[in-house]
Amino acid sequence: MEAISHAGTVLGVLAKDGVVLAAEKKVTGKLLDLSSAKEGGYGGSGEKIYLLNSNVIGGVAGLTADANSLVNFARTAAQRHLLMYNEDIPVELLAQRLCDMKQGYTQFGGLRPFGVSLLYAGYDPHYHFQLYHSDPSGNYSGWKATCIGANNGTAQSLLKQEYKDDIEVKDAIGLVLRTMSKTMDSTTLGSEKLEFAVLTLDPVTKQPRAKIYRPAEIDALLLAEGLTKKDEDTEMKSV
Amino acid sequence: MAGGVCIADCQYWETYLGMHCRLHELRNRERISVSAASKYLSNLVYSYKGMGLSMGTMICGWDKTGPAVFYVDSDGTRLKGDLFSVGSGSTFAYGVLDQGYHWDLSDEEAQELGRRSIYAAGHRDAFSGNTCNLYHVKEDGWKFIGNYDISKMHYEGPGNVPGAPGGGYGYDLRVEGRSSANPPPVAATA
Amino acid sequence: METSFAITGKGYLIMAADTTAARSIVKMKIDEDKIKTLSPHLLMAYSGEPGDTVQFAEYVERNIRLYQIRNLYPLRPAAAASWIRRALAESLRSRKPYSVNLLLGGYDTATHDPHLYWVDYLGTMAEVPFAAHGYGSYFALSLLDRYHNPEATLEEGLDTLRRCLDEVAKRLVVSPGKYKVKIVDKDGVREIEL
Repeated sequence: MEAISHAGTVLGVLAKDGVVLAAEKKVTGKLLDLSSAKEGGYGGSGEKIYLLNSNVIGGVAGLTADANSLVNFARTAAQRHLLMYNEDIPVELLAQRLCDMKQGYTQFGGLRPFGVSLLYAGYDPHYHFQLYHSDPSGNYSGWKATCIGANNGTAQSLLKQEYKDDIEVKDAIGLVLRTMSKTMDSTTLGSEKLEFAVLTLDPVTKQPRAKIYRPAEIDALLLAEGLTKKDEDTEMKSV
Repeated sequence: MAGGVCIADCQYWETYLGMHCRLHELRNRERISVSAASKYLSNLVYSYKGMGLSMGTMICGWDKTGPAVFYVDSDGTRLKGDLFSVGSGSTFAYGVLDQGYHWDLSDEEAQELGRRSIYAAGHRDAFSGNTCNLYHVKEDGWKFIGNYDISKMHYEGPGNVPGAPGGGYGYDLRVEGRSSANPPPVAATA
Repeated sequence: METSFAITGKGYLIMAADTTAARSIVKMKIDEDKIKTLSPHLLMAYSGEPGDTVQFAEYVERNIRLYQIRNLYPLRPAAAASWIRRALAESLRSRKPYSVNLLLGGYDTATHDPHLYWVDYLGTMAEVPFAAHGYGSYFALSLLDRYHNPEATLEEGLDTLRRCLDEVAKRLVVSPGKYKVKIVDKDGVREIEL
């Protein structure tokens, strides 16, 4: 729990036609090799936001090593469901699977619980777009907008003020980024401190489409939202 | 005359029957009756019973008594009737034939029903297919209507022939664009 | 001989199965229900080896119920069909395989459309607009190719089903006497008399 309150903030907002997730990266520096985030893979730098299944994006806050283990478990659980039922795992079921395991580690002596909270942004035909939060004890709950990690209290009260029912994705993106910029310690909002992802429905196939933004795309988005300081932004020059 | 099951047996004995029908005509100065021709074949195959012949045939014609169809098979069964189907695909043909049959079908309707029934057999039965020949027997003798490719009938239909609905017979083509989904009007807009 | 049919239509699915239970040349029972209601919107018609059929159907029924209790909402038809197919496929390579053929029909309340799956004892599965098992299928399938309409109203759908049953009664030597007919749509499962 202590680790989580110091971890990078992860923020999620549920919209009418999608879910938006943003996360603050803590591991930064000029010498950090970010080449894999810029090209290859599915986007994202692999610190905070992960694709758990084609219909679920996960955001993690807490001990990174524990988080990796949980992400791996979640992906395996999703694939097991696909193998058994030939459908994408329902979002709540995936959250349940992880919580069942997390709870197990609180029950027996000698085992250390996972020091990780997660946000699950997902879609399934039962309840359409959904946003869930789970904590190390194995509790989970569904949210319209929520936040985990450092300063989550500040962020949540900001979200509470600004959130409107039937918000659309394009407004949710703005809401997430604005809340994020007010919550984060650093003064500048740039791709080296931010991970960002959106889950929408493909207009043609009606299948969920998870998009985890690349650094260049994040900077472009920040610019469009007017939340970036151009002169200080080193990333922008390289784009 | 139409035959199914063992094609070699059918080809041989139907040719043989044709020869004897012609001999009957030469000897008796009149054409053989449908009943007699079918009886000739039936007696012939019966004499070979138990020796492995495998045939299912229909002898169709018009004689002094009017139109007649006889079913003759290698067991020695001979049946008079007005609706038959033979061969491994016969059950599939029956499904379409029975449901589309009325006693007062027009020429075109009857031809279309026959064509559509053979298509059904060619489509559903693994051992039937390729093409279909269509003949029409009336008072003044038989007439060859045409040869139809089963696949072509599936995708494009039998072509511009009287009685055909136009378009392919294939299920997917027939119901193209239709859907069983029935969303409530409110959910459709949401 | 054992025969079952199912057809989809606009927002519904009709399933029919004969009601005779025969052993050797004897009819043991003439009102046996061979269509199980697996969940509020899911039906399964089963036929095949006596003994195996009911055992397998009950095994499936209990597992589908278990999923529903555990996970708040029932399996959707496609997911249930995949699970059942898998159960049959695993059984096929076991010491004592189930010899059961199935028709699985359901109404997906999430997407508002009927789904029908044809499954045989080998674990072959196909999603189809209409289906049949048993000797009746040899007569009905070609007929349905010709007359089935995915947008038919319930009354039109029942007329098409009647065509199938009439054709089987007309041509099949050992045609079944009575059929049990069930419908599943947005309101769930109900049984009707033809």
